[in-house]
Amino acid sequence: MVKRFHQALYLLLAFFLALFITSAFWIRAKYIYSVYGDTPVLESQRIGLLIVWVAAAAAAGLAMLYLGRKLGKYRPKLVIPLILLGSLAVQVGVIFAFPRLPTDDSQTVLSLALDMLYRNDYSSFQTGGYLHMFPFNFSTVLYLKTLLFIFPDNYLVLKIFNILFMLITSLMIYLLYKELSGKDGEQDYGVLLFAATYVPAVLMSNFIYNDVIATAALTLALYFAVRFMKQRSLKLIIISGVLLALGNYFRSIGVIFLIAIALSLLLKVRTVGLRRTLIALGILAVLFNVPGWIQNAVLQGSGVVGEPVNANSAPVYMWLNMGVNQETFGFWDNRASYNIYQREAGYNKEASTELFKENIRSTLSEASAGELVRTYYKKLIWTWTEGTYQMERYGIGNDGSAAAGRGTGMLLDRYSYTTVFTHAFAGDSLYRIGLIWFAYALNLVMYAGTVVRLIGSIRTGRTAEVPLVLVILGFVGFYLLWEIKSRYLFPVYPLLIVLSCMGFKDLYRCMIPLMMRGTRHVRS
Amino acid sequence: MCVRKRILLLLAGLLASALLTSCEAVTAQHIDSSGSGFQSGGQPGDGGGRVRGGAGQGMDRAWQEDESRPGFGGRQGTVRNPDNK
Repeated sequence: MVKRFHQALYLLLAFFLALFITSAFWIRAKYIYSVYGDTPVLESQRIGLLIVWVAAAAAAGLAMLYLGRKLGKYRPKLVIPLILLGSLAVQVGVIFAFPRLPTDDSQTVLSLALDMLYRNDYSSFQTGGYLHMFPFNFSTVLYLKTLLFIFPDNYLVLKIFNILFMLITSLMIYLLYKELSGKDGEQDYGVLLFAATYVPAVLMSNFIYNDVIATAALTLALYFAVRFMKQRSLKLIIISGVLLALGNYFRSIGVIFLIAIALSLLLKVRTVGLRRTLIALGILAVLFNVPGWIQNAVLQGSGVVGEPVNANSAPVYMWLNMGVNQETFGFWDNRASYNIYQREAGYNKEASTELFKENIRSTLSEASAGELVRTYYKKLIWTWTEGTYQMERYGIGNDGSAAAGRGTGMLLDRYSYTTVFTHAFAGDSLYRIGLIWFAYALNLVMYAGTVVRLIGSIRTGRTAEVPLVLVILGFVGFYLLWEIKSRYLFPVYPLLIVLSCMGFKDLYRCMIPLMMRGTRHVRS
Repeated sequence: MCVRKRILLLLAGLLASALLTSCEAVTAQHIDSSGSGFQSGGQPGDGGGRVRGGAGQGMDRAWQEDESRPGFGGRQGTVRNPDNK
């Protein structure tokens, strides 16, 4: 029964990934802010270019794995720090080469951090204020405020901390891979090389927000949970619970990780033991909301807010309402949902919830079944095959002052100063478009590697990857309903690297005997 | 002088020159904490700088600006949905 459930999960994920790969043969999902503005684009695929870039991405990936094998003869104490140092150097180079200034929410949270630090101004929690509507972003404000309190007021400080979290994530990808592979994965430095040089991740250090820190915390949490399932030490699940709570405090999708870990624990109840499973679930459940409770208690105790911060915040139905939008297939709906909360409901949570529910109901009932299928297909394909996590905007950035956009009016992004790299990557330059193509193709190659691993696991009855599979399936399901951005999938990239590298290794193992047999046949 | 020392000296020299040349790049990325916006990003009236909820400059002002300039507005990120979920 449990085995069949495992197989069903693996098959379901393999089905979605196969759907993404096959769809990419005729649909190209894009997000290029400098060309199209802040909008998702779906257009006809250019097969020739796709094949070339997929070959390039696959070659680059294989080169990493090959180099990793070559490094296998050296001690981990030497190789791991060297790879991470190399990644650090590249990422420091990126933040100097593309000195991207924050925009939108990123700029808002930084502005609020400065207001709180230098003017003790917490008025943002008052009706109509940013934190009144979106209190979950107080975590990011608090984090930035702490960094600015300790270190000089410089964008580089915030970005260097991003880099540190990225390096932790890279290391965790390697350790998670080793943990899941067992002895088989010893000294596979290729995985670490792959993680440390993964283009969207390297560029995302340039983005001052909560994605990088949450990804690090949640990957760490998953790693310790996986270790708990093997070693059954309660210390490990406590560490996992703390990190899960921290990750969730920064990005509320932590709940997907919580559910995935909880389900994995229940599926492993025979090996972990009933008592330990129940204790572990209890620990995770208790710790999960602690940061939120502390935040509420401190804010109410100090008189910053008079009621719980969520009392009249924007309801979750606002994002669900954006998620059902037929025209934008779930992307930002040009303030339509926001206006319902702000203007029609006057910042009232209950009133706006009713309005959103009504809106969602009417949208769903007015659309035909065909239209709904089309919308959700587009939503799914754009989110999962855009493949760059919108690094073009959040990582490379744009020089809006140079009016690089084509037919999109004004670009809001800016750099602190321009460099030879910002000029080379301006607008729809060959470098920018080439890098987007590379990341796009690499994402498809990673999906293919993951499918190989999943099929191999179904055939051999392996179940170690279940927590990762559950998290990815959780993201697929969640973003079918929620408002979309491909950047929201960023916490999944470490898991995709782990699974795809396992798939490539499986493929390599299959190919070697076949090639040997072929050589023998030719010789005879 | 042994080769290792020469390499280390060369690396130190390179590092020092890199640091010197990046000094300007470091100071250029200073965050203006005076509260009047950011160094060059949050120019009044262009999107990112508008949602200054905490400072009470709030949504209404941004909304009026948007209505007077159709075609830009929210899509370009004036009042972005905080993307925490």
